[in-house]
Amino acid sequence: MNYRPVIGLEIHVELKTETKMFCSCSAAFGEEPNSSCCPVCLGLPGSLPVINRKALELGVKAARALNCTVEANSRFDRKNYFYPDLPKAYQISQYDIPLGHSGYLEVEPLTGKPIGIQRCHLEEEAGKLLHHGGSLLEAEYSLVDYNRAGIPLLEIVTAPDLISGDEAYCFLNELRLLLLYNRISDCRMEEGSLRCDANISLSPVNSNSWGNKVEIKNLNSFKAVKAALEFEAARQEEVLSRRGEVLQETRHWDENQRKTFSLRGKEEAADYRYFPEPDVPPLQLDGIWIQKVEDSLAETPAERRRRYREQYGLKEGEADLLVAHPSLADFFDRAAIKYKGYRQLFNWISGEITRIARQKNISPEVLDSGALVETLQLMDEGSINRGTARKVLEEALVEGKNPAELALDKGMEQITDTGALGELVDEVLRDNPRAVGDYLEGKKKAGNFLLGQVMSRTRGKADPSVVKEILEEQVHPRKR
Amino acid sequence: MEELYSLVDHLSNLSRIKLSSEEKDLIAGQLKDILGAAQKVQELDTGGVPPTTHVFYQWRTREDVPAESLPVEEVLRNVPERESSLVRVPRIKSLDE
Ligand SMILES: [Zn+2]
Repeated sequence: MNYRPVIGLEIHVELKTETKMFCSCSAAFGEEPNSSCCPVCLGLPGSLPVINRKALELGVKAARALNCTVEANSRFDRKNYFYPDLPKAYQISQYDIPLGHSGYLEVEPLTGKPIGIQRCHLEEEAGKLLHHGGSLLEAEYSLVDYNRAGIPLLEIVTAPDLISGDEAYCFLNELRLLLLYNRISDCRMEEGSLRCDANISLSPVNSNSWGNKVEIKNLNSFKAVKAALEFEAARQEEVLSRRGEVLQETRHWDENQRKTFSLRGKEEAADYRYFPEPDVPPLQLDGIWIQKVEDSLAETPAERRRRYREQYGLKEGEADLLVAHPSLADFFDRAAIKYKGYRQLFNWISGEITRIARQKNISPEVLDSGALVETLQLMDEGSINRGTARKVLEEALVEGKNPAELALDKGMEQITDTGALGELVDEVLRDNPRAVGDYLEGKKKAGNFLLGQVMSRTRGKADPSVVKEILEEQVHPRKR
Repeated sequence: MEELYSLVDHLSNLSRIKLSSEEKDLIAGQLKDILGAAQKVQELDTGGVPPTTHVFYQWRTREDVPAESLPVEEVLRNVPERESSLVRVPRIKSLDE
């Protein structure tokens, strides 16, 4: 029998706020452990949580970006469980009236396939547990940092609309871009600001029945999500093919062994004893405010790709590449206001700007797009050649200098005086009679050698195409 | 009665409190009274009454501006065990242990 995977994802993203969800403690990453805690986020008696307006705004923004219905009278609920990462022994979350529900995200790389979004809700992040000595269950003891406890978190649950690891991968990439362009989250998996659990069951082809669902945890990258889902689909198919039963359970992905493992241990159905959070009154969102938040939405990654193709004439692959790197795409947009050679602009951004940003470890976000525009203009005017333009651009960006001044100061301006170049070429031809002979016999290499000699005597300041022309003019009359 | 005892076991499991059989008898009895009282309320016809989750519906929000947190020493004052500025907790056991 043939089976098809039925896959759903549960994504958690930390919202990009300065402070926590219900208190004014800093939400910054990498502070001294337990230095961003207060009576509210520690759950000390008598403290009262107050909603962070920015977190609420980002939640509504995400909900609308995902085409969800925003529930104006949404509310918070208390989810009770004992675990050392929760200082209060409960988490303020949302249960039966989530902030957003019934949405979808069209994934352009999946030819626009809409993936249902069942719900997205706000909650607080838990603290960070560091297990001392091995994994969760093998650790001798654990250490807890509560700085993260209380940071605003958005949970996004998809419908089981995905059918392969690859689809899950594409969906996650598109979702990440959507959240990044809307500045909803940093989406840094390595810092834990984006996390993903996946669930998968196999269903016989031509049947609407679903098999038992397996939840996969410990997925540390989008690639791990894809690999774990592919492994799990194959494992379940193997179990079913020998008429075995797939157990409904939670399994851990082991990145080194590239397998999922059952966590074993009896799992009693979780009982979180949800009830309406008494310390936070229900929301009464204003329709005009919701509309205002919606109006502030950035264009979707798909709209952006289309704009690059249609308005700027970029090829499909080029538009995809730019949109996949928001800091480069934003750089492109800033530069494209002042420079109309869009293809040239794209080439320099995907080449030089990317190289400089990587080598100097600077984000393109803070690089001056004006420096690239001015450098390209100097090149277009013929004042500097391509090689010089590269040097000028790098210095202008790294040291914040003016490209035109750099070109002048350093004597980098191109030698355009053909008379002076002609003399240099004559010199080189006289000094290298053998190469001249070889070239005239049709050896291409000799021509390149001569060109190189002239260029090195100008210290790279000449336009190679002009030098080549003069070389051709002067070398042929020397034929005996 | 059997139902009551399985509820006591469930609650004891959830709250991680081990109960002796005498304690179970005691709590099963008390639980019966508590549930009975709640049942009494359900006798009322609330068909036309919208559910009330809060008595106080005035909600407010705050600006996203950081303020001073507690000093680390203050945060850790009542912590039984620590390692530098981290809280040290016993290993997390699975439910079978
Ligand atoms: Zn706090």
